[in-house]
Amino acid sequence: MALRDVAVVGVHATEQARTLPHRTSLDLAQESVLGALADAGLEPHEVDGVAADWPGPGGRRGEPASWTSVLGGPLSWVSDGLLDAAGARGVMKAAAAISAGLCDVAVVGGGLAGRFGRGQTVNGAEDFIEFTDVWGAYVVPLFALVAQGHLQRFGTTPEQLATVAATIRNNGSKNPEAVMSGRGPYTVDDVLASPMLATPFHLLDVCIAGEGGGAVVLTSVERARDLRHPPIAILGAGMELSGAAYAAPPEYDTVGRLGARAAQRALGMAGLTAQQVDVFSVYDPNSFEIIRQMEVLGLCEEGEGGPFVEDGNIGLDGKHPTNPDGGCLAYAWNGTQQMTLKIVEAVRQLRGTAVNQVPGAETAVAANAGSAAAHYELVVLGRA
Amino acid sequence: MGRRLPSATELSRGFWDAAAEHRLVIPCCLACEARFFPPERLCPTCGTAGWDYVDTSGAATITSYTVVHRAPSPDFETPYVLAVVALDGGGRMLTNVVGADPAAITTGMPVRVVFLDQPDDRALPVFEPTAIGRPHEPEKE
Repeated sequence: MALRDVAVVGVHATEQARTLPHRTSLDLAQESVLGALADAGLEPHEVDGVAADWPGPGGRRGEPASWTSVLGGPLSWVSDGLLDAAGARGVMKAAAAISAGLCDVAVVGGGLAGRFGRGQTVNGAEDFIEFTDVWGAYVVPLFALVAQGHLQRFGTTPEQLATVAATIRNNGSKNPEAVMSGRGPYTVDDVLASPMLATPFHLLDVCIAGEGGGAVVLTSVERARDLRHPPIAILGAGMELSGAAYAAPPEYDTVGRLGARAAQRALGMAGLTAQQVDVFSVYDPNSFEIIRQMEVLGLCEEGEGGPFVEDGNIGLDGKHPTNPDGGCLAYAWNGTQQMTLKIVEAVRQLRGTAVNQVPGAETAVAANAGSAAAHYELVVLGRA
Repeated sequence: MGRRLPSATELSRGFWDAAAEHRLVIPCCLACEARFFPPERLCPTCGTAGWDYVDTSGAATITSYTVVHRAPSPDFETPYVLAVVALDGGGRMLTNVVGADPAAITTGMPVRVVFLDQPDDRALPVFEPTAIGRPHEPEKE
């Protein structure tokens, strides 16, 4: 079995909001996993592979085998670690395990509520935080350092950044599940008029932190034929890491092209060029990351991402519709599981059931990144 | 502006001890002489474990910067400049650029280290533009 013989067969996204005081992380994780199984038409006891976050209480926090209390057991395969239990990285590892015959049905996902702020800072190891925090660095200005390099080197403009933000936010405005549902529509001028956070990012150029969960279920394409939905195969995958998150100061010169090799690998595996992909569901913690990723994915040349987005390419009616659900900018950013939401949206698009459906979409790229371009993961998905 | 400085680690103690004396030091590999920052157990260039902190001239050039208008805590007065500087002699570090109108900052601008004294006799190295800054502070005894 190869990676492309594995499919996503079930997806679920919980409610998403800036805060979910009536929910717990476990509650959201459990709803996500059981919801994805129900969507697939699979029973919990059929799961034998788990790459899902276990937030506790009960079981052992962080240990995926804790899921036996929900799913039954025994399990044949688990994967732990923050980023392994979410998004493209979780999906490619689970698909690799299934294709290698290590397990048959795997879940990827989790949820987060009530401990958001703490969850974010715990992510870093203390021996390097000392050389970021002391100078007032945090995620927005660290990404801004990379963006500024692009603006300076290629003449990318704040208006081009704002075009990304307005386009994706306006998609989210039409998504009833979005945290920012009904907000907007936004113009480029609205984005530019919002308060400056860290040059070149205005308030509306960056996503807001929130809470929520999501999960997906994978099994072989063969088994998927008997399930409820058309199987969405993993056509290709790749990841790329420049170094430990926030250890070295991020600059465009060193990390600006992060993801290009991973994209080449994943698209090569899929036998597709980026131009042939119908829809993109990619990480958008800020407007600049979309411009950067359009370039590293190969949709345009390095430095041409600004004019590329200004020409309307990423809009719902454009050649390369990007984040029809509103992305992190308007749909949801909830810690780690926003990565899984990128898969959920791509799968919905390929099933033809998305809220802002791209007509006839047959292939999609779902990508995660983060920590100011320290890591990049993508999967190419397609109807099997 | 008062900053909460972290406890030094085994790797960073030499850096903070020197900073308290208003000296900017960075790791320099004994094997390949590469200078690097932040301190890592192994040289990021050649992977060997032996390095010493060496003095720098304190002169540097801005390679990337952003003007931050929303601070992560009240310890920071906004706007402030977060920058990456390339030190003369090698090594790059994250820092702040002070002593200048943020609007006047550019990449390629020459800067030099100055120290913000903190409680407990500690100090934080930041940089200011060479051309418009005040004279170098004398080193502490």
